[in-house]
Amino acid sequence: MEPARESPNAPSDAILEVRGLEVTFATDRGALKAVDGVSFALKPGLTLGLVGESGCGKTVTALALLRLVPPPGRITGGRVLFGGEDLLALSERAMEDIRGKRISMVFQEPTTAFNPVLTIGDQIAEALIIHGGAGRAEAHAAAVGMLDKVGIPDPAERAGTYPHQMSGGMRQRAMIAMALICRPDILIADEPTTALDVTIQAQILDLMGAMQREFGVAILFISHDLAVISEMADEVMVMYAGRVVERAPADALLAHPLHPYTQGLIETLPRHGVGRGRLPAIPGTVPDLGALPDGCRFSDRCPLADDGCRAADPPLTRAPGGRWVACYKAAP
Amino acid sequence: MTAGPSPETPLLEVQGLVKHFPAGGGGLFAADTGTVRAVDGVSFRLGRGETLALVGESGCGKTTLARTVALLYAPTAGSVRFQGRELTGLGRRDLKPARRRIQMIFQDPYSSLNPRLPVGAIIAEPLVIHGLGGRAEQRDRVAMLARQVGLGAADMDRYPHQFSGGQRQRIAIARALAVEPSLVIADEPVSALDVSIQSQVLNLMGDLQAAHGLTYLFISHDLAVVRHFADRVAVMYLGRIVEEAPADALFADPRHPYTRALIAAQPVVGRGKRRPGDVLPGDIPSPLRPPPGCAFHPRCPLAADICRQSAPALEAAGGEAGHRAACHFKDEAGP
Amino acid sequence: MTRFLATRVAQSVIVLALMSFAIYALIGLMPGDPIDLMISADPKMTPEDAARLRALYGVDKPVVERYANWLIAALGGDLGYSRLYAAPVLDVLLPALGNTLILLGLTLVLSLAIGLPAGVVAALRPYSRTDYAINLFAFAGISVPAFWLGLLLIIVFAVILGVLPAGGTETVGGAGFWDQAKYLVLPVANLTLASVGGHTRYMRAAMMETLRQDYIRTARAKGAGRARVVLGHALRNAMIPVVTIIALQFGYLFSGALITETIFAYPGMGKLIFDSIMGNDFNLALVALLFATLVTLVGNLLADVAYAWLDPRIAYR
Repeated sequence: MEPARESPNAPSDAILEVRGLEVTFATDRGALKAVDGVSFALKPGLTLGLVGESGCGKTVTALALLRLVPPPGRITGGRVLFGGEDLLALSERAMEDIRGKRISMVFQEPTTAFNPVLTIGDQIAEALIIHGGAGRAEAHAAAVGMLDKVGIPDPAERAGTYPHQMSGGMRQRAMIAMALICRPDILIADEPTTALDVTIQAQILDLMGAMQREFGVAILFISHDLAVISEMADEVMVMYAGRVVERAPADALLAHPLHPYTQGLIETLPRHGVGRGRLPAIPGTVPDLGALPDGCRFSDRCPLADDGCRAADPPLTRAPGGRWVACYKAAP
Repeated sequence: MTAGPSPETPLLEVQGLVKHFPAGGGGLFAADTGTVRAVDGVSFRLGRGETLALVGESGCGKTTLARTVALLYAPTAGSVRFQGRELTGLGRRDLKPARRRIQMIFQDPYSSLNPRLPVGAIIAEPLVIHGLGGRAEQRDRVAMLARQVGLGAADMDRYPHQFSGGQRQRIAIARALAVEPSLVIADEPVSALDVSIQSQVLNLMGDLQAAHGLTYLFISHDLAVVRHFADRVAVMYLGRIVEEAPADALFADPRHPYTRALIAAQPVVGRGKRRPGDVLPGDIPSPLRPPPGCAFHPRCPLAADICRQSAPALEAAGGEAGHRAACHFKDEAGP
Repeated sequence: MTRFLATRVAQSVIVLALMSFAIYALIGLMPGDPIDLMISADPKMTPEDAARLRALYGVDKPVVERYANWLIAALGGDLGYSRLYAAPVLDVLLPALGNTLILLGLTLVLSLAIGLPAGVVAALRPYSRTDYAINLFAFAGISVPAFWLGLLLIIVFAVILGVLPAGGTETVGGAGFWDQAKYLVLPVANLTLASVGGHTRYMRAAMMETLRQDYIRTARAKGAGRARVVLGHALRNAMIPVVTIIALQFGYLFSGALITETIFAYPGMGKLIFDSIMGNDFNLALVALLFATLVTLVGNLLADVAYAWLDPRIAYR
C-alpha cells in the first residue's frame, strides 16, 4: 500500500482535513478499494462539491467521514482531522457525540431516510435530545422552530405528522431541519436533490444556500449532476474509480477543466447553444474495481492516453491557481 | 436529429385522451374515495420521422400517457389514431398488428429485462410473439440487431445481470427494434444512466432513427436532453399539456409560466454559484385533488381570478407555427 | 376504523355460521353415532330398542333438519347436552376453556419473554457464535416433536427425578396455588419449548430486515447510540410483522395444545375436542370446534387491528 501521494498542504483555516482515506470492501472477488487515497479539506462556510459517476466512491467517502461505512466495507487507511483529532481513531462513543451535532448528514432518499412509525417532530427533536441540548418539551419546540425555518407551512401541525404524509420536497426540508438543529460545523449532503423534481430541487438548493449563509455551515455536496454542483459549490472535486482526479475552484474547473475525464463530462452534457448533432461521448464504461487497468484508471477511455499513462498511476499534483490534477497529460 | 415532420397523415394522432384510475379500495363497505385523473384531456399529433418530447414532473401524467398510447392501458375516453386507424375499442386480435408497430423502451434498465432469460431470447421475444420468421431467421435478426446497438454475438447467451446499465438499455433498444416498429415510445430511457453513458445511448437512438426512419415519443424530465434531442416539445402539468412548440421556440420564447419556471429551475453549468432568486413556490398538487380552473394557479406568479374559475384552452401562442399554450396570459411578455 | 371493525365482526359471524354447518355435517358423516356406543356398551340392547332410542334422540332425521334444530336451540342459548360428561355442554366447556387459557397464556408470555430478546440478540450479532448458538436452539425447538418432548419431560422429571407430577391439574385432596402450579410446570415447559424457536426466528428475521433500512443509518448519523437505535427505532418496526404472526398463531396454538394436554392428561379444550370426537359426543365436539374457529377469527382480527395500530401508514376505511 502506497502512502498518500499528495502532500496535503491544506489551508490553515480548514475545518476538516482528509488525508489519504482508504476504504476497502471484502467481497467474493477479493478486497476491493472503493476509496483509494482520497485527500481534501473543507473550509468553514463554504461548499465543496464532490462529483463523479456510479462506483467512483463518493458516497463511501461521505459515509467514511462519519464512520458509517456498512460492512463488508472497512476504513483501512488515512486520517480525518477535525477539531484537532483524528476521527478515525476515536472511540465509537466519542464518534456518536460528533454525529448529528458537529457533523451532520442528509441523504438521497427522503422517503426511506425517515422512520415510518415515528412522527417528524419526534425524529427532529431526537437529534437535540441525543446530544443533551434540551429536554423533551424544549426539543419539540425547537423542532417546530426548525421546521418553520426550512419553510414548511403550519410547522406545529406538521411536527405531529408521519413521514408518509408529506411530499418528497417537504421530507427533504425536514431532513435538512433535522441535520441542522444542533448547528453542526459540517453538513454532508449525499445527492440531496437527485430524487426530487426539478422545481422542487430548485427550492431545496436555495434552502441549502440560505442555511449555509445563516449558520455558516461548511457543506460537502455530493452529486453526479455537474450542473447542480456548478450552482452549489465553491470548490469542486472530481472522483473516478476511487481516486480524486481533479480538484479546483468551481469556476476555474468548469471553465477550463484540466483532466480529460472532467473535460469529457462537461462536453458530454447537452447544452444550450450546442447544435443538434451527435453529443461527444466518453467511450467505454467505468472500470470494475476488481479489474482496474494498470497505470491510470482512466487510460482505457482517455483520448490522450499513451504508454506512460498505462504504465503508472499519475499522482495528484499541484497546478497553478490552487488547483490539483492527477494526469500526465493535463492541459496546461 | 431528423428532417422534421412530414406533411402527410400524421403517424399518430391523439385526440382528447383521458385516463382516470379509481383510487382507494372498492368492496362491500368502502366509500368511493375519488379518481386519479392521470391524463385529463390530451391532444397532439406526431408526424413520421419526428421526435416529440413529453416533459413534466411527478404526477403530470407523462408516463401514463405514454403507456396509454402504447395500448398498455385502455383509455377512459378519447381517441388514438395510428397510421390513420382508430385503435381505441379494438379487440386484442385486431390490435396485434398495431402493437407490432408501436414499441416501448422503459426507464429502469434493471427491471425491464427478464433476469431469467438470456439476452438473445429477450431480443427475440417480440419476433416470437408476432410469429416472424423461423428459428434460424430469428437468430440472424437478433445477431444483426445486437451489432446495430453495439453488442457482440457472444453477448446473446449471457444474462442481463452481467451487463451494465447502459448495455442493458442497448438490449432494450434492440428488443424494441426487433419487429421493425414505426413508433418508438421511450420513457425516460437515459435517466437511470450515468452521464457519460447517457450521450452514448442518445447518440445510438439518433443513429437508429436516421437509419430506420423511426418516430420517437420521448419522455423525459431533463430539459437539456430534450432540447438536444427533440423536434417538438410538449410540457405537461397535472394531466394536461400546458404548452407545445418546436424545441427551439419553446426555449427561446416560453409562453406558459410553468414552462418558464421549469426552464429557470434547471441548473446550468457555468452560471456560477446560485444566488437567492425567483424559485417556483409550493408543491406539485396531487392528481387526486386538482385545483379548480387552471391547475397551475396556486403556484403561478401571474394568477388572477379568471385562472381560478376557468381552465384555459390550448391555443396558438408565440410567433411560430405549431406553438400552443394553455394560459389566460400567454400573450403577456415573459418575466 | 369503526366501520372496518363492524365489517369484520359481521364477516366473522357469517364464517361461524358456515363453519357450524360444515362441522355439523362432517361430524354427522363420521361412522357411528351415540346409539352405536350404547349398543357396544350394552350388548343386550335389541334392534327395536336401538330404533326407539334413535327416534328419541332424533339421530335418524336428515342432516339439515338436525342442524336446524341445533341452530335454533343454540341461538336460544341452549348449546346442548354432553353425553360423555352427562352435563350441559357449557358446563363442561367453560372450565376446560379456562384451563387452556391458563396454559396458553403462560406459554405465550414465557415464549415471548425468551424468544423475542433472543431474536434481537441474534440479529445484532449475525453469523457470530452467539447467533449460531441461538439459531441452534431455535431450530431444535422447532424440529423436536411436541409429543416426544412431552414424554421425555415426564420420564425425566416425573419418573426418574420424581419432582414433578406426570399429569392432571391438582393433587387429590390437595389444594392451594402452589400445588396447582406444580402441575402446570411440565405442560407449560413442553408448549413453550415447542413455540419459542419460532418466535426467536421471526424476531431475528424481522430485526435483521429492519436494521438494513435507511432510517437506521439516519438514526446513527444523528449520533444515536446502540440502545436508542435498537429500542427506539428498530424494535417498533420489527414488531409489526412479529405481532401479526403471533396473533395469527392463536388458533394454531389452541389446537396445538391438544397434544400437550393429552400427554399430560390436562383437562383443557384440546383434550376436550379429542375426547368428544373419539367418544362420538356430537354436541360437545361441535361446540368445542366452533370455539376453536372463534379463537382463530378473533386472532386474525386482533392481528389486523394491531397492525394498523403499530404502523401509521396503514389506515382502514
